[in-house]
Amino acid sequence: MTTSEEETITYATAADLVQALRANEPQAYAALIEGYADRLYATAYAILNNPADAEEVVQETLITVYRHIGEFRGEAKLSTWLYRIATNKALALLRSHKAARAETSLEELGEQYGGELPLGGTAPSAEEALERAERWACIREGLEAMSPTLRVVWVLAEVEGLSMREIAEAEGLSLSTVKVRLHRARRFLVDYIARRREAASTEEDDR
Amino acid sequence: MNEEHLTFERIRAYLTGALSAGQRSAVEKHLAFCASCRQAVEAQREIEAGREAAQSVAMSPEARLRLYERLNALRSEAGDAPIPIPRHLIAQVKAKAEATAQAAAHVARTTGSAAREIGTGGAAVAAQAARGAAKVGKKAARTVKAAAQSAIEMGEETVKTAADLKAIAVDETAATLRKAKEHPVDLAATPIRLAAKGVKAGGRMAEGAAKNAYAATKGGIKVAAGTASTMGTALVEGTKTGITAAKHAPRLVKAAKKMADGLAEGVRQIAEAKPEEAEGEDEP
Repeated sequence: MTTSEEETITYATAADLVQALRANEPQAYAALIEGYADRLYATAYAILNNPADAEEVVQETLITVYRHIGEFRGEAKLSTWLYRIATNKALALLRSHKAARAETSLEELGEQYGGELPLGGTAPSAEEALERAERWACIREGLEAMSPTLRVVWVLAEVEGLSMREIAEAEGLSLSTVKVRLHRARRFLVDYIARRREAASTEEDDR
Repeated sequence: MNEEHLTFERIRAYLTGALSAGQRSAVEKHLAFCASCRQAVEAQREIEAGREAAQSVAMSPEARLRLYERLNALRSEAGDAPIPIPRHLIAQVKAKAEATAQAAAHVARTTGSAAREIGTGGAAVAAQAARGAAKVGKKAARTVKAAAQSAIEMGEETVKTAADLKAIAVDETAATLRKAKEHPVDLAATPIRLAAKGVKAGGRMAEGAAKNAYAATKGGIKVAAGTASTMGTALVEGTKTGITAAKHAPRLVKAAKKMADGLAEGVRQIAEAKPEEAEGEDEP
């Protein structure tokens, strides 16, 4: 049986879910997907800026859970572990792309991805989707210009709302390193966008 | 001390309303004369909006379904029981597929009627050219033949385009519907493929229509020019053909536009597909 007649089972706590995953209960994986896949996808998407890559990261992350749930130590939060796997996969993918696309310019990449945001599960209206895409376009350029190590910290903090301590745990960094990186990432983004705005307004004045 | 630039922590606090009234007014005083800090505030506002957009990103139903299928393929290799796929997810993907099929049918209908219009227009020009040819006589026969050739080419192009479109629409629609019943996962790629084919067909159609309009007009002008040197009736007939061609040109353009509208409507239907819309209303 591949499809269920009932809705997905929910687990009272993450620890219950981990236990069911360890027992390799199929239902537990459905709960894992329904509960975490969107968050992991949003994380990967913000880091990679490409729906196909983000999808691959989510798939690989859940495959890793399936293969290595036995190695997961209970002292870390399940979500932290998932974020760690996903961000590692995303960074690895970014590195492999960088090697493969050394010749491709940023403009070409922009065209390739079209600046489109993938539609969510609830299929927003065309207007909503467009509005979202425009808002996203404002910062994606800045994020792409940022170094990947800063970007990951920024995404976990600003998109996923992780605390600095959680980020430190997920990324295997010291708390002070996370603080420094987050500060630098935020600065970088503000400076980048402010500079772009200034350039745009000077251009307008010139006309 | 308004000379020092605002730190971005201060800007964030200002935007989130975390400042006291006094701090707030100090920030505003500074912003009043510091253009660079005003830019920084606006940049921070943009970041805030972009952050919200990034948070609202979610997997498409198709991507989610592929995730289940990929994990289940691995589980089945290992002899593990499959993960149950939530019914609402399958319903969602099916609904989208059905909407795609409906949109394809809509496109097929619209392009079909547009092709008919173009065909009628071409036939009218050809008939007029033939009538003209009969009256003009031998001397102008060659030029009229050219006009007739244009009309024939136009008809052929129309038939070819219409046949292509019909084949694409029918094949794709049938395949989409079949897959919707058999295996929802394969559907993920179908809407994109279909949309791409639809747009390509639309482009070809519009190109064909433009070519036809051009050929018809050219034919008309050739007849007019060729017969000018012969006799009065020839001139009149040639001009009539030209007029008929010109008269049909806007209709061809309109037909092409109708088809483009059909495509747009189809794409809209796909984009807005929701499960509840799938059950029910058939198009008239």
